[in-house]
Amino acid sequence: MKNIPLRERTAQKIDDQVAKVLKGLGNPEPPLRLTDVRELLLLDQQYYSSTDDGALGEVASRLRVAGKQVLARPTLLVEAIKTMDLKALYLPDQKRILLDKEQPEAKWRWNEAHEITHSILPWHNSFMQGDTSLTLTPTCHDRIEAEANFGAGRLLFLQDRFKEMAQDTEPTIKAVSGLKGVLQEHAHKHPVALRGAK
Amino acid sequence: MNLKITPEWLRKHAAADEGAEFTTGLLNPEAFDADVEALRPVSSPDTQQHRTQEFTPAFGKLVQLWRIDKGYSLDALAKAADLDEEELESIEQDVQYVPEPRTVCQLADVLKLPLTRLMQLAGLASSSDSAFSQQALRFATRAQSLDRLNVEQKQALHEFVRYLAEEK
Repeated sequence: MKNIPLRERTAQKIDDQVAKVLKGLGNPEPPLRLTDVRELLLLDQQYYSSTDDGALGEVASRLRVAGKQVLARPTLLVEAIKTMDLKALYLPDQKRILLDKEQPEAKWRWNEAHEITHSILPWHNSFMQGDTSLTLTPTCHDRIEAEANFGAGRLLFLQDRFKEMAQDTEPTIKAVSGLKGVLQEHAHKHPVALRGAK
Repeated sequence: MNLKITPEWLRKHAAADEGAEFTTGLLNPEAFDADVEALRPVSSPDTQQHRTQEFTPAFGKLVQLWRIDKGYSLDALAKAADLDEEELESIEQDVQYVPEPRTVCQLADVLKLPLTRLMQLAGLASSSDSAFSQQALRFATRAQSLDRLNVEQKQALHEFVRYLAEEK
């Protein structure tokens, strides 16, 4: 995906939303616990497997709100994930994040932060909950994704915290590499496998 | 191929109307519709992008005429919508410009029009609603920019806004 520059105002608005989240968590020390973020935002999260149609279909068919199945055709979700090669998705009307556990473990955290960012940007929610007869253009889709990527970076690196930490360390590759352990939450070794929807 | 109302097209039709009685606005709605149809781009593999690009002149005109009708300067509308004045200017003046998603959301809020309609007009989304396509093209053709709106421009604007607000 090519790099798409954001307008300064848009980047600031995204950063403002990230700041609200971090403030809500009491401006935590690194590493940021995404479970805490999801708890604050009342987001549910499930893992699915993109290589296991049966398991994915089971997740889709068990998505329920207040006991009612929310997807009339769960197979559509399976098709969408496979056709669009989705690595994660956010279902705004259910405040639910679905993550592909077949992705490399190192990417889980990023994918989760990306979907969380979609959930905290009001205009993303407006676009995602819009008329289903509309199709976003590739340009619009790329911009939405670029905005979510920007927000994910600001969230995971605690806005300017990484920059400040890097500037406070000696200017060597070793010193900066050492920051990785400070900022990275240990990923789940054994993700909860396909919990049923609540 | 993009839809363009070019000076050459206008000159050709003005020459064809030489000697005829003139009124402001549409001389012959049926002929207008036929001309619009003739200018419509032929379906191509990139139909979705072409279809959405058809509407962006209408989006810019809508924003501009609405702003003038309500008495907003560019700066005042930018402040009201929490947007960059420079981007608003691009929306109004550059028919190729595709605004950011947030910008369209903000304008939908200020103009009090359905977001999905503005998404289509702005080139951020597409649908197969041919009636919408016709209305947008008709409006873009009728709208012309002036410092103040004349009666017909006001009418065109209000009719189009009414149509957009009746989102089905």
